[in-house]
Amino acid sequence: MIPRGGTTAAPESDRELTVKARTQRELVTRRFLRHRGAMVAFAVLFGILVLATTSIGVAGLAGWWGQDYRAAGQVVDAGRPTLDLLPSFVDGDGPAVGAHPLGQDDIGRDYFALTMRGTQRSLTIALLAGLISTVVGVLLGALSGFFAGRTDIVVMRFTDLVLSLPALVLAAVFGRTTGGGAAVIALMLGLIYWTSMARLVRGEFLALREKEFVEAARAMGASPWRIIVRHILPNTVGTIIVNATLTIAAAIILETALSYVGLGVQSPDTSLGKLISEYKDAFQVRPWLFWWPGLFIVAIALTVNFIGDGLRDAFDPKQNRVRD
Amino acid sequence: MTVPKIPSAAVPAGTPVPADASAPGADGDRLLEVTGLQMHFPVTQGLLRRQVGAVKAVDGLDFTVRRGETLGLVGESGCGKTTTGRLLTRLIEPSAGSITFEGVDITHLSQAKLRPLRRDIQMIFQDPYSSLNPRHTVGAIVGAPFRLQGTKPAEEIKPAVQDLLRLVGLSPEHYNRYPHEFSGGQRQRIGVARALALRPKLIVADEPVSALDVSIQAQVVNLLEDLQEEFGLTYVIIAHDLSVVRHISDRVAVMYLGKIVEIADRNSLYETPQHPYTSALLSAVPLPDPDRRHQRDRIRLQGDVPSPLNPPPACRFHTRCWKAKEICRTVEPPLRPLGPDHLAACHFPENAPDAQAE
Repeated sequence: MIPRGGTTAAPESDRELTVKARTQRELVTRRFLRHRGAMVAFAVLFGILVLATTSIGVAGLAGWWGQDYRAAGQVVDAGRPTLDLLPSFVDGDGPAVGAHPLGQDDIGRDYFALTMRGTQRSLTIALLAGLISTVVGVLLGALSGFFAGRTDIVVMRFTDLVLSLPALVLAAVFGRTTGGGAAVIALMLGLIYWTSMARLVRGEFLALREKEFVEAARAMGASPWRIIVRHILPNTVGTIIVNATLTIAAAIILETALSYVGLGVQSPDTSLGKLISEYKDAFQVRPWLFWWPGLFIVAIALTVNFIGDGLRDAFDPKQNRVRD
Repeated sequence: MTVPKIPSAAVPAGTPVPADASAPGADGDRLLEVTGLQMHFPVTQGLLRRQVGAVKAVDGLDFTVRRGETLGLVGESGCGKTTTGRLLTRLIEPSAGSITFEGVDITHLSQAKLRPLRRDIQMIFQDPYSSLNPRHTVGAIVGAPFRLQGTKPAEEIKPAVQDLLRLVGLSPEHYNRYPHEFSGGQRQRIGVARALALRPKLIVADEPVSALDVSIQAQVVNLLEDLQEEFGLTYVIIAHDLSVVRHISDRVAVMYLGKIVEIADRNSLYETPQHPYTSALLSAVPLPDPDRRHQRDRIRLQGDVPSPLNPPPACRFHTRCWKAKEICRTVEPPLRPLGPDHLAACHFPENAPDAQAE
């Protein structure tokens, strides 16, 4: 394989022979960094994260945005956003942020502060739920698929049981009894969403355990645990990552649904879903109350999906469009 | 390459060739001994998993493998060759019989106790596409035996792997490549390098070349032979291609429905096959010479291999054998000597020394 446009200034004659040895980690990082969509998405998500944490502060630390998301105030200009990106020669006031760039809600709370708080909460819940469901799903799916037989029957019937429970009702009941903290909601969502992951991973394991490389590992004296972790799991990374990103997006949506029926994050705390559901009726007259949190939800879900795509491609050794 | 003699043409085969000179014939030098080996896979039915039968994949094998020789194991699909290979490497546990390796009974050793033994018995797999983990680099694949067995400190693994790659004719620079970047033949060599890593005494090769095209087959077969010479390896080679087996083996065992029907020195088996089944197999080997192809009598076996769920009684071949008599249906023929280093299980052997059927 001839290095294409290699940085090594090798003479033309030994070009073909200069093959730089790279470790697997270097290759994966490299492929990820070269994935344009993923890098853009990563930058956007990182930007959202920084904006949400630094603006109103996090964990008791003060942010640079002076207004508190809990503080009510006087509603100015029917709570219209003061953010104006159009310069003065086009339409008037010129690029300006104003006092309430995203507007104000009914009782005069700054909507920018509220949206930032909601973003913090929604991100925490979604990522945590994604993590929990992935860990539980991969673990159960792997055990079920690898050991098959009786283990498989037990785990899969349990999965069916969890699947048959109405997720919303379950989450609502738990949310009610535990008071609706973000961590509790994340845990619940995670414990509901692992089923699809478990089934997918089980399917992959059932297929992969029959491959000769698994037999070869056994013939070398590898333990079942090692075969699962080192030999089979890396081959399921694509499925796991894609499903995890879908779960994260779905968790944001379900959290929205929970908040919509009033069982999600409880006031005065807020989440993006809660903001949308609270102002669903104002959509006709004050659409910004709906669009801003909606924009953040879409941005988070999209960027997570793109990053997932990038990671999947980066872990796949057959993706060699980035080969230098 | 000599063409297998046409069995039914009753060509005087000359004196049965004594044990091949390259095969160390000393009886005391047995590396692997198999007696009465059985593998019955249970067939279960219903909710309670009641056993309703068993697939008798391997049903009583007796043979020995001598140190430094190559034993070829041939037979039709489904005759239990692969199961035998997996039993010898103890990837599965036999349901009866015993396997003795270097005087140690390994028949029922636990996986933990088998671990050190894995250094001495290695396996080469049939499919070079499925036998290498697509997510592991060549370095990780060939180096895995060292890591698993802990025989080398971490910093010595890479040079050792690169030596192995050189040994099987690959470049040490391939260390960080992935399997999909190689051709079938190269991949099979990676498999060979992996099997060689721990310098095993016995290598069981399950159809090592059947997935490769003919020109590559020769490369891999020759590589196996060179390595045998260099490291004094012992091979059990499972194959269905009789030409390949003839080329590489010192002795050949023919299997039919989970049993060995004939086991003999290579030349003796190919020149004077005793079991009708062996004759039939040999007559099916394609001949490159059209004249000779037209001359010989092709033995066409009727019907399919009977089900291993319910094999025919006594001689298992009697349902398809053109020589079958009443005795074949009632008395199972034992493996008996019919020449020097030549055993066959038949009441009416083809080329018996005294030409006298029992």
